[in-house]
Amino acid sequence: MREMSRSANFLLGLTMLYYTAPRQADRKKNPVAWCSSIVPVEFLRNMDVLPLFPENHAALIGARKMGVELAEAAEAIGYSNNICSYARADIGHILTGKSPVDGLAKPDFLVCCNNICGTVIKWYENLSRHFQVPLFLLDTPFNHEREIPEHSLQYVEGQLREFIPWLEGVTGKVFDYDRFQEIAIVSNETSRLWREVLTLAKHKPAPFSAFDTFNYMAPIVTMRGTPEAKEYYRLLLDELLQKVKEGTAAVESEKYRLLWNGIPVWYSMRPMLQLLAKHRANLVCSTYTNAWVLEFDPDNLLRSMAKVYTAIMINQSLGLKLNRMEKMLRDFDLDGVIHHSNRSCKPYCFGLYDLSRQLQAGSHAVPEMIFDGDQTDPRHFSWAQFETRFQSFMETLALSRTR
Amino acid sequence: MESVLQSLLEVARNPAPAVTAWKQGTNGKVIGWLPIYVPEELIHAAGALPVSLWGGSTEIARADAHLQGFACSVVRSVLEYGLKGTYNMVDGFIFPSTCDHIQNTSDIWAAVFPGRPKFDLVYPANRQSKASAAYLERLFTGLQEWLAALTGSAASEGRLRESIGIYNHYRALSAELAALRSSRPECMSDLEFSLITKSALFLEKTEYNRRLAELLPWLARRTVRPRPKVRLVATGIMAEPQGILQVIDELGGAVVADDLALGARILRAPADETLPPLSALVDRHLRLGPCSTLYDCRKERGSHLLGLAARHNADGVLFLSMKFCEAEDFDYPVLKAELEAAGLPLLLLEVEQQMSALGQVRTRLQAFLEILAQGAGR
Ligand code: SF4
Ligand code: SF4
Repeated sequence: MREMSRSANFLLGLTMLYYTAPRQADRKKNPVAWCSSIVPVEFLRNMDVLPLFPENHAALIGARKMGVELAEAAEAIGYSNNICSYARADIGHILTGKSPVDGLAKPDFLVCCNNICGTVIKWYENLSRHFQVPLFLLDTPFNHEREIPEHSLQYVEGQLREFIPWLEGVTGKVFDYDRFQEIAIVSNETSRLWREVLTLAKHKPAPFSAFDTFNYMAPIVTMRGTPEAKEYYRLLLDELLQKVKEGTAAVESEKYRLLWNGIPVWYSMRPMLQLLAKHRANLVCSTYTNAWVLEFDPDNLLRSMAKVYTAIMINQSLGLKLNRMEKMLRDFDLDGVIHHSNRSCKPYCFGLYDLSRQLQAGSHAVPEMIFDGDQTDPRHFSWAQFETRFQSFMETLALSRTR
Repeated sequence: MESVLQSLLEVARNPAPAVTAWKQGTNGKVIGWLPIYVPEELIHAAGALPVSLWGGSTEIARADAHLQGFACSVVRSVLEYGLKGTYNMVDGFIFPSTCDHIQNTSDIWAAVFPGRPKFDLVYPANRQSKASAAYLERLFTGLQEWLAALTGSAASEGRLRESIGIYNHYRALSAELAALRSSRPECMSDLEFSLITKSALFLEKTEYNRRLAELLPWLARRTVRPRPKVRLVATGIMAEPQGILQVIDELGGAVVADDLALGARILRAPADETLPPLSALVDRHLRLGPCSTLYDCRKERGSHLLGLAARHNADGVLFLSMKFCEAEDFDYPVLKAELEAAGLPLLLLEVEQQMSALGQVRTRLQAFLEILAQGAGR
């Protein structure tokens, strides 16, 4: 076995801490909150709240191939097989107590932000009911325009202001504005490091693949705003810079550089990685991991947080999604795109067909493949379909090379 | 009077001629809106005809090139109708932020019909926030401006006040119709009730109010079926395909009250006429509910259904679950537990607008109604 790198070791420790600290916490000092995946955790860190992220946990459930069992537990009490499999996996874990990591410690309250989907609102309503705990909803209106409208920003900022007394109420603590500023700066720097890590994939050959970043991303999701998360990305960045210097390639003789658009298929990462490597193709980057690059203006914190937390890619128009994708194709010098038409995640994939049409009509047309899947529930994924589509995608790519 | 009834049923079954006739008669604009909540008063006051687009039973062919099969049948069929040209007489479209399906279909719509006027009504989901009223007021002002640009004239405050009055009257008459089906279910079939309600979505409301007001006293004395053996409350997005209602009828049941989006939900909460008109509409939106698509961490839909069943002396609840509708799907397990605990029987039927074979639905309804009939002791 390969020796573990310092950063990988550090990540292991962080993950342990993330799951165990809430279990052992004195809830008066460190209340536990369950959060949707992109909430302003800076507020929570400032109150010494320990946030837990059911979606992240559900991804792990998927990766450890427990998705079907737990989804079925939720379905048995009436949850439809058609709803997001993260929600089903999470609810299944609550009902059965089963989990790859001993489960999530029970929440004292919940924080939900709909900048990723409307599904989380319904999911968190039900969690609030189940655990009988308070829920704060941060509503970030979907942006259909080129720019986020001013009245949306004012409304989101208004809610962030209301979040403070709400938190004071549920935690019994006082919100310290100076400390909040410091935490936001740490969070900012962590995001910056994360962006720098992702940007290293511009190197040819890329020193890592998007599959690696799906592992690297845990702390930016779950521990943003802590010095530990920042330290992790500093370590990781150093190691990766070293790899670049040495010319280490994630995929031997890298030939095709691809973009992954969608949530990973958590239970099928290894075979995908192997299939791609066989064709000397690397997933150089993804629209998914980029969602956690959240950089604020420290001098105008609430306002810029309102903007940054609203401007999540899947909370914005098709036109902006296309712009973002074309920019990545350009910046990372990519040869093609793999789109995950994900039965769980409607906002991530409704519109995909027209996005693809517009991409083909634009100045950055590259070969694409779309496959049907689901991030946690293998019952909605067919390896055979993936493989067949991937083969013909590779043929198209080879042709486009010779032209 | 029979002819007034038939005219409404006909509008619901085939709305296009009525909409086209209005357009030719008035030279006005037709504004189509997607479910569930749109302040029609603003459209009415601008002199345009609001028509509500809830999809239908069309076969899906063209829409599949734009939208995956796991989108709900409402957005798939709306897109299909759009691509087929069914909405060619519609001058502008309003997409509310009801759910991820509609929100994302709006962007697809813009890609497919780049030149057609569209307004995105992105509602504040957090209606508890003090910031939501100002946001909503700005949103409705934006809608007014969009309408003014489209119709060529801005609606005065007086006109809006008038429209609000007309819509409050519409809601009051609808409440009378609803009361009638509970007190005398024998006076109209479930299908008739549903079609009358639906016809309102395509008619100018002064006209609709006039016809309904005429109809009500006649309906009250009419008898078209025996007293139902079983009384039901229906909940969900809509009672479609309408064959389901006929099946219930044939089995001796009746829907005596509903909590359907295309039904009681849009007809709730009269606007407060003592407020300035725009504020009245803002205030109304903030009071709407309970509804699966309006954030509610107290989940009041359960107690609402229990209350409805008690008030209307219903024997059970029919949950008409629109396939792929997450909003409804997440409510179901919660309602199931709550209603079971209260001893109120509940039947889940998964429906799609494109569904044509109702054999399974009939079998399940029959079994459910038989059990209820025993319990009801009627
Ligand atoms: S619907 Fe998509 S964004 Fe929402 S929780 Fe599921 S996977 Fe995440
Ligand atoms: S049925 Fe549900 S998913 Fe479909 S448009 Fe209506 S609310 Fe949205």
